[in-house]
Amino acid sequence: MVRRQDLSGRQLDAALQLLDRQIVDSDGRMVAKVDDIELSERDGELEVTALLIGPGALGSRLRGELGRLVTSVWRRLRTDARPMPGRIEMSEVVRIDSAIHVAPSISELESVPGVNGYEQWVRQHIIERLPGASDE
Amino acid sequence: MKRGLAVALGILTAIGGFVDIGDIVTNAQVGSRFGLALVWVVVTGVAGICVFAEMSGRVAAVSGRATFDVVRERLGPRVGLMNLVASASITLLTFIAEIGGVALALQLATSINYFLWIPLVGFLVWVVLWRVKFVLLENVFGLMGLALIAFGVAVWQLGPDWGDLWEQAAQPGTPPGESAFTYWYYAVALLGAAMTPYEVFFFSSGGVEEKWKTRDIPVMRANVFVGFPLGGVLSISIAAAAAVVLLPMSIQADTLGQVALPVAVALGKIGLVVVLVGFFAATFGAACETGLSVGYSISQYFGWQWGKYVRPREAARFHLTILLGTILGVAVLLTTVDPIKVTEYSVVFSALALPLTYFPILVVANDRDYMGQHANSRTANALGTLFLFIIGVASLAAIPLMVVTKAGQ
Repeated sequence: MVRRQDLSGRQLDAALQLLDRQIVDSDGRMVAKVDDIELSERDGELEVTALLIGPGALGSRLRGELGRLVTSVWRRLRTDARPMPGRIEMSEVVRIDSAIHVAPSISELESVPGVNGYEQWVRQHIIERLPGASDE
Repeated sequence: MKRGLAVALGILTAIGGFVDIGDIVTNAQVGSRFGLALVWVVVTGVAGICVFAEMSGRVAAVSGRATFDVVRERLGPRVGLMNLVASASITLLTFIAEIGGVALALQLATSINYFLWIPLVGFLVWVVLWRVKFVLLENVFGLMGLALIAFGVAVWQLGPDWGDLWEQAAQPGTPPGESAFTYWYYAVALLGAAMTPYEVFFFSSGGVEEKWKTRDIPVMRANVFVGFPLGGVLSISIAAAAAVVLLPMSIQADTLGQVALPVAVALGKIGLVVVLVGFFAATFGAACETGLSVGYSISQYFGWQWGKYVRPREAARFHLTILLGTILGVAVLLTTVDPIKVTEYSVVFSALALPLTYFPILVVANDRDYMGQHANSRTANALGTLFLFIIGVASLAAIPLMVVTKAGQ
């Protein structure tokens, strides 16, 4: 969660540039929206260390009742004791224009737990069972 | 030569694809009750959709990002979500109306009750969205939709008093037996029908599907500035046919059969067949467009992979959204709700939601970070602001007018 008072003007600007932008992989495939960002302190300065994605990150930014609902439903659907939102390291970002381009391919990204879990579930259990799901 | 053909094809499909069930029903109803006294609204609406479709197409070509992608970026997750819920619900309502329209067109052609057609139409729409290539889908239904030119031919064959028609259009007024409230209610409905929000979602997402680049902007502009106005002429010819045949007989166009009646009167069976083909193509094509648009807008908000340029398994949630939307649409229609009524409400609610769609487009098209030298010119901004004001007024007036006129009665 980004709080204004934690950031200097320049850093706030950088953070706002990233939020809600589309993340695309090395082939231009759409991965996710930047639902939130992770800030870490290094040498007394805050820096963006990861892009956070999925309902676990979006919930806190929606605020209010709706935000709490999204977060608690997301938590219930996860099997791990302390679920964390999906994260993509900032070091994997190669370019930022109208989208955020990351170096790994989408299949590499999706092998990390918490990244596009629902997409994979829907793919395996519904879409791939329909004829022609893998045709061009 | 090849490029010329591509441009011509684009323009033709833009004309045929412009008209949907909302345009057909609303124009026929207005023509049968007010003659051509509301043509100025269609002209205004078409100009408005041209201005904003060009902006959203330009954003897509320059940035590779479709409308809802940028809506969330500009409005933030919370306001963006409210916008998504409103826009996607109205697009879904339009989707339901289009499926109903296809079923009604098939009932007219076959005399088989439309309830039997609804599940089949739903299934066919889903199969097309699952299997058929984007470009093929756009071209086939766009070209077949040109059959609606039969309305224009019918008006010409009926040999109306052109001077009288011109006077109705040029000096608009409320005809006897209608109140000023119903006049303005239908003005709002016509504006909603002409500027339906899904059209810009579909247009900008289609630009990304077809991988438009900056060099494609001139072709995109030709499609918009030539194709859409000619599509608007098709809409007006539906109203004119109703004004010439139905208005003098005091028939209100409440069914698709009555909408087609003027063509049957003027051109006989052949004309009727052509119009039925046109109805089918226009509604089926628009059903595909609205079905896709529901998937586009939701996927773009959440950042899911979307589009028909990838295999379905690579855009799993996008295709699931379309599948669920289609099932829901069929289920709603099977509750025996009247598809024509659904259409009437869909265009008025579209009018209500117009500013939600168009305001963010105007903002993004001005963003030099995003658009560089392709950001809006002064003219585009002046026109954009003018139309935003008009749709703002229409949006505010929509519900009060609906209540006062009991939905146009």
